[in-house]
Amino acid sequence: MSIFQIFIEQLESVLQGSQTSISHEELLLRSCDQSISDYVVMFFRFVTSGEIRRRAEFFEPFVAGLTNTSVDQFCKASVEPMGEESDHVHIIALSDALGVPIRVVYLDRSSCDPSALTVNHHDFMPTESSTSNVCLLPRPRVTLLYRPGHYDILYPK
Amino acid sequence: MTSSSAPSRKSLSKIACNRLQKELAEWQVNPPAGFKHKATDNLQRWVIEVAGAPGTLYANETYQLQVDFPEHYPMEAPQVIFLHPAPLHPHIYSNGHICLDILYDSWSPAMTVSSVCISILSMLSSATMKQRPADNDHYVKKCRNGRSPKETRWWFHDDKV
Repeated sequence: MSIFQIFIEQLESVLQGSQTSISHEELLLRSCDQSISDYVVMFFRFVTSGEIRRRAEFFEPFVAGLTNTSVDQFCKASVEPMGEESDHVHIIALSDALGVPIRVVYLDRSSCDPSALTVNHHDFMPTESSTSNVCLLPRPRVTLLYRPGHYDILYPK
Repeated sequence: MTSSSAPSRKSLSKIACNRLQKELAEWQVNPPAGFKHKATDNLQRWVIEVAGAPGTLYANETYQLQVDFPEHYPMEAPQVIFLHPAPLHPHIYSNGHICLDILYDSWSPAMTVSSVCISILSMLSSATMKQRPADNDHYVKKCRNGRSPKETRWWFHDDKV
């Protein structure tokens, strides 16, 4: 029984009965069901773990600085289990693996310009090798709001 | 027997049920070497016989594992303990509780009963001495109220055994 198979089964169960399509609103609603969203999180945790292991040489120094363990140990203890904090290393790996630029915004009042009404952010750009079409990459496609222990997805208005 | 401590008896979710049925079917075709699932009609509690691996300190001995599944398995780890008598091992308490990271902090939903069994057998097989953990008496006393090992804050310090 592979992880991928488990994930696909859950994904397919989002469509009920003989439905072939649902609206975005309905998809969002159903995806908020924890029994569905947990499996999505699980899947991306394994994508992240796979990317870190695949480029172990690149990630090794970051991992060592963070936890003082091997890449393998780090993936087993801090990437694959549910509920573990997703740090910088995780997001870099996920963004690279998916080829999707990610912006993380922080409400920590660390904005460089105190007079401006902006929040501090950090952009994660996938490394070129992981994307087939670099010119499609100018700005982050997904924006996440960092909250301790959790990220919220921010949708453009 | 302290090891009969029941975890919260919430019945399995539909996903957990499906997953366990699949695991069981797979087990029946391809059980991990050295393990025997004792057939019952209770999907939420498995009792598994473990045979010590030949050439190790536990050769020719058999033990029983009790595996209880939470409502949201596999998102949450199963509770795995040895039934009395638990093997003498530096990471196994006399009440059957097992100090093994994958059963607690390092559990991931990709793991299965089968992979847990293999890890436990590997832990047994690598023992060089048959003895209880140093804090056995203290720990077992603390658990007398039937506390689940999943409520323990484990500290994993030894990666050799």
